[in-house]
Amino acid sequence: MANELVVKFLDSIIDSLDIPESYYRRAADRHRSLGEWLCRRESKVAVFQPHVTPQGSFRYGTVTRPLNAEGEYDLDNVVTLTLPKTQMTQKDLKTLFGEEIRAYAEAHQMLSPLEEMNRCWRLHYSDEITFHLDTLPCVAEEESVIAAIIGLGVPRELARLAVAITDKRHPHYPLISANWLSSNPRGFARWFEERTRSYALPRLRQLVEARLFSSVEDVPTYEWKTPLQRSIQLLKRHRDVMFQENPELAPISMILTNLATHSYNGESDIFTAVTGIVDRMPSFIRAGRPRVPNPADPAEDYADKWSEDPQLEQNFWSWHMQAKADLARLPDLLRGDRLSTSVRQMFRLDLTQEQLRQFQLAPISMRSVSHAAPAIAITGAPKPWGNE
Amino acid sequence: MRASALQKWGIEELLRKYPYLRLQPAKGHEMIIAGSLEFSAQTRGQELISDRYEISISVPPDYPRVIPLVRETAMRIPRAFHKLDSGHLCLGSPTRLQLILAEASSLISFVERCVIPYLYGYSIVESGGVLPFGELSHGARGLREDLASIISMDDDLVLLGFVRLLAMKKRKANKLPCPCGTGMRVGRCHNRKLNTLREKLGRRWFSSLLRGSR
Repeated sequence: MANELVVKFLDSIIDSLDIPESYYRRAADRHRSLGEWLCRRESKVAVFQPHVTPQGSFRYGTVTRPLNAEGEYDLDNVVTLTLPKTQMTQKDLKTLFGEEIRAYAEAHQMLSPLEEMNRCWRLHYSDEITFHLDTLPCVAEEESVIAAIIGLGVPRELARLAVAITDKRHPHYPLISANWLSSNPRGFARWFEERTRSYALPRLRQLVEARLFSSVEDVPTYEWKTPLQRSIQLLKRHRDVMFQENPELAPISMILTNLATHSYNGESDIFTAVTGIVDRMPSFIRAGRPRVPNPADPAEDYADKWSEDPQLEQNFWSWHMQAKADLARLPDLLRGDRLSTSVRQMFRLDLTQEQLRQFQLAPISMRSVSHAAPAIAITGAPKPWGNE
Repeated sequence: MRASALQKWGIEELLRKYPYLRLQPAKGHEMIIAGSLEFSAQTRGQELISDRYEISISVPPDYPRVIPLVRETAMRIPRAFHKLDSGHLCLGSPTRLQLILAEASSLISFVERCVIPYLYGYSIVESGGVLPFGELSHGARGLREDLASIISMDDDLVLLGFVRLLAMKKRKANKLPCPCGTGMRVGRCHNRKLNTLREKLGRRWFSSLLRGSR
């Protein structure tokens, strides 16, 4: 068990990064509402029995507040349609689905235009919480592909969730073809939940005892709040702050979530959990491709961009090194006089007076400004020079 | 640049010891470490100085073969002090800096042996003192001065002779007469000094000096 105060301190930091539970409920409502729309009688895709699965941080319970007030929350879902890949082109499916999403946006008076991304459609909600929803149309993968994934060692219950997705950049995008990109976001989510559930059980039982839920199966993943989920929130925030000027260079959330989930060993306090996760993360990055495989489809590489753009890998390692150094400093920070400055630097959070009173150990009189500065005895030094 | 490079260069130790220096997102191939460098430093016969500078260190991928570039970012040090045309701090002659990195290649030792002494010197100058370790003339003259002090020879021709020997293979150089004028062959005269320098910096470094590309 780590120093109790550090644990309380980190818990308090993560509480302030967390979003109100009502946001999660709101997100769930949006998925449900979209699902109902797609299944209504006039819907052009109703015949394909659309099935909406929430994805991403709102599903895993790893959302953190955006850095600034204008920041949007990303909501993701996967809409699985039942039809053979060769029944229509990727393009036709994307377009047909897009028409329904556009009609949904109009029916709900959304003002911003619907955006077409390479693989999904993006809807901008504009009420008091700014969300955008990326909705990914796909078809259930055929048995031969699922068998191949099982052949790579993936359990059937994960492999069977694989889907074929449309991608505007795919050479067969406008053609009738069985050659579609394969992906398994639903399998990843299932894997994440399977790995996490056992650690959540004590809390699940508490919630049921408190009569907030009728059974442990009813508690949504975002309510689990395991040290793994909270560690991911903390690490994502640290990443957001470090890359606030250059978000395009930042390691993507899926890489952090994937590696953290592999690295978590069930530690019960947040400090031991997150330091252990950060220490072990590198051992789950493979030397060859796929560098960071989806456990539910090892051919899918979350770090596929690293090979095209080595800077992205370098930035992952820089982030990792900085996160490791920052976590290692936390116990000392509580004893020093720089707690609030450092927390602002690491997490861009302003500590409240109450937090400072609670966590800053050294009494004001004991602190000295230069206390942290290393003392250097200079013996022989280069003479400064300059070009002409 | 992978995890191994970060480890080899001792970045983690640097970040721990100087926590207000932080890794920055990399846009090019260099690794950028920037923030406040706080130190308390002292040298013999001088006062203890505690100070803080805002700096940015750009570490090239082929560090320590290539020396990092350092910038002072709060515009406290004027251009007229020792700076390169690019605005980077001119911490010392390239040969001197290479020698220091050849002895200890971690970034901590670069910061403590090259960057902090420079900033410490500026703090003294800023408060009206003189540079504690002296300074080199600008341009080629400064390079020659520093080489003269590294080799401990002041005559131009002798110095040139030594640099030529340093650019040669040890076996070949040792058979030649020593440029210092004793009449002995190098192998029986200044060989130890030359061998150490050649081992630390490599022959190529000295042949590039001869070509004038440094």
